[in-house]
Amino acid sequence: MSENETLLKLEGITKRFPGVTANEKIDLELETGEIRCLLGENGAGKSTLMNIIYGLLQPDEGKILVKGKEVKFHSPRDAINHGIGMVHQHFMLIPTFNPVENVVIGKGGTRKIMPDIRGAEKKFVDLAKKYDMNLNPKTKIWQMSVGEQQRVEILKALYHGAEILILDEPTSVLTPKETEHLFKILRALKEEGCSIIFITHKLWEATTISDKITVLKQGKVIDTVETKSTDAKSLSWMLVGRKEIQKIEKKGGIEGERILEVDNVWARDDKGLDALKGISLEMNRGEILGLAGVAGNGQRELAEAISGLRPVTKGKIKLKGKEITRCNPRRIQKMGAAYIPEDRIHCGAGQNLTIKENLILKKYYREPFSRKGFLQFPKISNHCANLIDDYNVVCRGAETLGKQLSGGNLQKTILARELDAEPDFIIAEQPASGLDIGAGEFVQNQLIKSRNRGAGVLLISANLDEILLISDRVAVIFEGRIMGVMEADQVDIGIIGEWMLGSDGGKKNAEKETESLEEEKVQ
Amino acid sequence: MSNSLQEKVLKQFFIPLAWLGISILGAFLAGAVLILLVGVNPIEAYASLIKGAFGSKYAISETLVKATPILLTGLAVAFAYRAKLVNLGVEGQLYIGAAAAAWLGLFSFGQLPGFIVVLLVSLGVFLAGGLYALIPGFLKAKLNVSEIMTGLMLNFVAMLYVSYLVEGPLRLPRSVIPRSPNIEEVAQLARILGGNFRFHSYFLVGVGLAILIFIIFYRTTLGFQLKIVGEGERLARFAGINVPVIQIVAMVVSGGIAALAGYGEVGGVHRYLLAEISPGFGYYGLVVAFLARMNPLGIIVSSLFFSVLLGGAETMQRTVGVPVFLINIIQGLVLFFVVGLESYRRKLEKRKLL
Repeated sequence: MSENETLLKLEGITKRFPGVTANEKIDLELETGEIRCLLGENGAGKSTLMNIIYGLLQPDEGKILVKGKEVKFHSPRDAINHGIGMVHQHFMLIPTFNPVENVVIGKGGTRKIMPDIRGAEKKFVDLAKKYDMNLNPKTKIWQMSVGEQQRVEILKALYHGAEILILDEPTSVLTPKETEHLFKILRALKEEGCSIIFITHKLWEATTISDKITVLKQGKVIDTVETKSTDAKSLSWMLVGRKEIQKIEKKGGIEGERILEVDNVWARDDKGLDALKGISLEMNRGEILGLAGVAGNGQRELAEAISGLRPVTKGKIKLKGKEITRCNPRRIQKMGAAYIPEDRIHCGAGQNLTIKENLILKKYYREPFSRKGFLQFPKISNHCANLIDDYNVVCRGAETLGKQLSGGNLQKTILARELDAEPDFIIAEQPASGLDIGAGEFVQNQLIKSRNRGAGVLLISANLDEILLISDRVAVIFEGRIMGVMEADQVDIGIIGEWMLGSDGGKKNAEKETESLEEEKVQ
Repeated sequence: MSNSLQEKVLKQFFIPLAWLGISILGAFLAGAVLILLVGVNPIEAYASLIKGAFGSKYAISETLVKATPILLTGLAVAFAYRAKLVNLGVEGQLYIGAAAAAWLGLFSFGQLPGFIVVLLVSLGVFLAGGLYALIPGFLKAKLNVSEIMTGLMLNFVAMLYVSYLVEGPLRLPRSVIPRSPNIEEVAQLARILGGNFRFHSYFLVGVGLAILIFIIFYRTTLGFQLKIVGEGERLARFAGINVPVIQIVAMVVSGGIAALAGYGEVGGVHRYLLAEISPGFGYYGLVVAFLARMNPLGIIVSSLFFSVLLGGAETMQRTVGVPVFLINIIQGLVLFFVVGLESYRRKLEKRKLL
């Protein structure tokens, strides 16, 4: 194995999707035995780039060279044949099969009537031993922990002869302990001359594991740096730094009373792990509080906890001075809270419901929309026609189904429903994501309008630009904790960036958890 | 406005009906081939089928008698399905309803007028079936256990319970076939066409219920909540709906309606309880509900259609010698064509949209 041999080279990779350029003229060189971190915000184009390398997507322009030879991948099979393996964020394993069976079906084993399971099992066990992965080849996937499943994915790639291993946010599903184990495995792989591309949001991971770090932003490579010669601060500056901050002109805020108090709130995510770890926030009427943070750091759980959709395990939430910690969603709605969820398709609106039904989703039981249990259609129709007009929903009438609407018009429908009652408190989760510029501006203007009439708006977004554009104050969430709050006109982008990526704080958190886990075990 | 109304009626009523017609025609054509293979003239066979179902006043009465439990269980299925719950337990709920009717019907009601007694027994039967459906409903709502499996398995429990009743506590002494004594006359359902015809009042109750459920579905807040829960649990929770409560209501009401079919059989058709009170009416109910795409008014039509096939089948066997099983095949074919053509129609729709 010769040092510094270029294994993979990308030249001017460009990939466009309707409306966006996901990757623009990306150059990248990966050496043998190198661990490379790809760092970037959501939507920076990391996943697109990896999918291109793995053959899931084809680039519009540019070349891929493996060991100096130009290659064209039409499918992952081509990529695998050239020694590229990928571990997706969501594992591609069959739950009812054991690891060996999963490995064999990926290797064209299905084409044979009698695949050589025994031989495969021996090879699998040898590989697992070599990298110190504790895996029982007979255990079914569904009985395994997430960490074990990930190891199976890595072994699957190695079994298929991967020399370049792509890991897409591998630590997002792992406990700190499992992360340590993963890093150990990655270092062992590096020793064997395997090259690794490691996608992450977390700064400390990047600085801990990698040899070099490539920073991506808005589809472009900002820079590639040696890990040794950089630090968290300059990395985060590269990531979120910008020359000037755009701002929408707003009227001076109303000095309002306290509308929301979140006090040391804990809650679990869908898998039962702690997603909120002692969140505290305070908000007044007449302000927009922007909650920035990389997606998946507890934003959704916080929004759901406040709206009563997710049980709070510890702590208190007060709305307008009244405790709502254990109230059901309807009680909280009736107190004047509105929620614009991120998931428009499954949560915000019904795909098979008409606009009319979507518009009365939260008030069908109230007069004048219903009386004595009967829906009052003339009143409902009138109300809906007005809303469709006011919010400029482009549709073929109130009977149009949710699934027939464009994203922007669906979001306008949701806005019309949530904002029409002039709520005192609004949670807006990624309200402009996936919308075109016009629709996005419309959404933002509606939020500002609500703020100006005295509502408190909690704007949750992974898009820092959007947050800086309309917020009065900015808070940052990372791994279920609030890293800090700043006045919008005194924002220091560098610090925000460090907070968003956890900088060294994330490492501290991880260590704390490992310790507490160990303590629990001792007890 | 009238233009869009016309369009709506056309879209929601006539076009589905036309597709249904095509599927039925297809099924009968395919059935004709099978009848030919048996060596019978299909036209003759179908003529005897029609004659068997409509040939006399008695035949018509019998057809409607068969339609009644199918209609009621079909409505039961549709009600639960509004919240996207599949109540496969309608057959068992029918048996529980029959058992409750026999048990209540053996009480002495004193001087109470007939219609009050029938109302009281109906209410008791509804509650019994509702409670029985509460088991899968509760398990689904609180523990997310599949209501399909629990419902299906409880069918056998209910059937065996009825067997136990007619062989044990409720057995009419010295009866050849195990059966209960006749229920009190006041608790019996009126035979509308006179004592010689078994057609009874519960058919009209079924039609009334279909209209009532139609109104509940499309005009009430309860129907709206059922629909939202059916659209997705997350959406319903987001809308502030108490999802478990609505799911339980859907199952309990569904079970109650299915149980009424049991009362129809005991109170209207037989006058007593027997072990084989239903030859699978509940399963026919499932099929007719799906055939009518869960539209309560459509279920009136589809249940009548199935009862015609059932009623005419025996005559067909007697007069032209086509085995009754062939009718089962045709029923299967109808379903097959409906489902097949439905997916074809969707494909067409998509292409038009694109």
